[in-house]
Amino acid sequence: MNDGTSENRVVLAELADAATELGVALAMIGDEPGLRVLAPADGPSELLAALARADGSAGVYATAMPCPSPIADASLIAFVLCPAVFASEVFAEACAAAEIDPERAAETLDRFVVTSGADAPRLLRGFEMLVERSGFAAEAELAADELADSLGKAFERADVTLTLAAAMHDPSDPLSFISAACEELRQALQLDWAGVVFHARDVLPKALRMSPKFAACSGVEPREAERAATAVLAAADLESGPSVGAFAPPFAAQHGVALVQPLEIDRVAVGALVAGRNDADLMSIDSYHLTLAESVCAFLGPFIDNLRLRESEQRAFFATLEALSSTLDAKDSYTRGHSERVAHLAVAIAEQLKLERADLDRIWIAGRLHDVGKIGVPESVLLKPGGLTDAEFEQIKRHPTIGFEILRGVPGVEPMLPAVLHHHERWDGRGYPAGLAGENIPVDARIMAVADTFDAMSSKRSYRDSLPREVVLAELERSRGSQLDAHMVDAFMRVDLSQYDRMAANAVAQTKGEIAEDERSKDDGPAEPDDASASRHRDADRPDDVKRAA
Amino acid sequence: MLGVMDHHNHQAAGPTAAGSAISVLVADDDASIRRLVAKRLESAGYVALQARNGQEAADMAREHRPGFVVSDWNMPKLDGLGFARSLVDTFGDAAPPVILLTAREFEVREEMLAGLSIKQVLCKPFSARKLVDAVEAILAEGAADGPSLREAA
Repeated sequence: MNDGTSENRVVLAELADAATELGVALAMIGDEPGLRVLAPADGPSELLAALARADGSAGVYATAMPCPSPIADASLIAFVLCPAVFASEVFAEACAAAEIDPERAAETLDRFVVTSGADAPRLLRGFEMLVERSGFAAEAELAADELADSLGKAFERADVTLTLAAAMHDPSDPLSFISAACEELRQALQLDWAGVVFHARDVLPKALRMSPKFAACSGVEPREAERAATAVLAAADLESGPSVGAFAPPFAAQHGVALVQPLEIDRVAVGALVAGRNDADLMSIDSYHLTLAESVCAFLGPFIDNLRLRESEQRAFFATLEALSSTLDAKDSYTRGHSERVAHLAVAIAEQLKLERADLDRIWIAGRLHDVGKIGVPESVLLKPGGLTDAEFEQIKRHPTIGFEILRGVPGVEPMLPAVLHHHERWDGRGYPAGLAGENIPVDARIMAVADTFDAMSSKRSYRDSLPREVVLAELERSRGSQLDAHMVDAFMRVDLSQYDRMAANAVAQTKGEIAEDERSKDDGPAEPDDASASRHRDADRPDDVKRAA
Repeated sequence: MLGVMDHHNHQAAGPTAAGSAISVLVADDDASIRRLVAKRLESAGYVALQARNGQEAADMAREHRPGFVVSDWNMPKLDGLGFARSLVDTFGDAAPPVILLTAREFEVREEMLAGLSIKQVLCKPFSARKLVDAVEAILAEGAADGPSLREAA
């Protein structure tokens, strides 16, 4: 019988009650063989079924009407009896077949008996109108359900959109945003799995380029999802827009259906949002699913595009910083690569300190920039072989402040300024420019001081050769708690220096070549004055402790 | 993944904690929203009662003692806050938890909710799925808190 939903059963029961109340018996003919007696619910159903079929004879008055379609796809037969029926052959046979005593049966059926045949049509007509009305009510109910359902879908879509809009402002972890978007879609549509596949990798932002083929997914193991997506995409034509299709079993022994919504960046398809269900019912994915998938893609596209834009801005920013720091390299070939090595070491120390990714980025840039102020120190002082006079040393000591002044107007560099300004402070407060001590020195600057000191001592200078590793490390140990923050020195001691050594070796090789060239051109110009008298402030960019070691 | 789905089905059968389904009173003058919420709650295993305004809701609550209330804020006769107040007046500490629906979230201020059993304010348009999840979460939280709201009601 096609009265599947519980609501329909309730409506049918209500109709049966109304029939009983009215004094009408009720039966139904549906897709099941035979008659089903609805009213009376507790009556002798076999007997009633036989009487329902006996319309037009022996005092049975019946009328058939279609059951209102929202309730069931069936016919209803309403009937009443006249007293004459109890004397009929049909009744006697039916009682015998049902093994019921005819007298008791007549008693039970008393409430469906009309005294005159003339009353029967009026009664049945009354019931017909009742059925009709319940049909309208059921239809209205159905329409209201549909309205509520489409309201629910509209709300769901609005909610997905709002949720994504709120989440997309944080570009720090694009993959998890994309995963979250897929999960949101999967939940909203009650699908089994959802994910994004990229095929045009070269136009993707770097942050996504290294991602697995099935970049982000939910509800399924990535490898399974990738297999599913590959199968889906092989069958789908992305050029022609969104599609829905059945596909080969992606998961062991299961068929599924999936929707494919092209994902575009700047009107170029770079991949697709693929989502599906592990059943083979193609009808279970409809335009509502596609609309919602389209909404999600409408967010993902611009999100990825913004990411790309941000990356290119960042590249421009880094390139500017590189240019700035290479200006210094060009001026002072002895410190060539110094800022790069210091940046590398400072980040390595920060890693030992378990700092966050964002901290490492900031510290790396600060390392590249820490000596930029030397641009403002005259070359005659900066490159002077031999010792410095007090006045010259004062000039050198201005480089952190000059660097700070140069950089402080540059947008985006503010976070690196403390390290630039304070990398020559000493733990004991005897450094410059501010004379800060201990924890008053910004952390970045304390890290930078260790990295800077190590590289200065390890590198060849115009006035001395590089110092052996063990001497440098011993010096660092000696500076713990006086010049340098002991905590930072300890972190440095745990750093693996092999990468640093490679960087240093490269710089030496390059510098040798260029110095040889410099020497040749110098023959034409005036010789540098040999100021051997002032040896006091050599290694001036590094503190006293180091000078003694040299 | 199938595990997750199964788990969800368990949840749907969950609200029949003490053998009988928890009844949720849904009050909204918008028939479509009322029906949407009621239907979703019913498919999650709750018994949904529907009221068309705050006054009707207050009367029904007194009569049926629902285990949970989902109510619109802006309703004729008595608004959602007034209805929530009536719940506290009637049931005191045993007032059923309330989720308040509103299209004007920005007008809700903390002090308006003081002394009421409103556990959450949901902004329209809301996800019916998330609403049912919230009902489940709040009921679970109440059950974990000791004296259960069901027992109290």
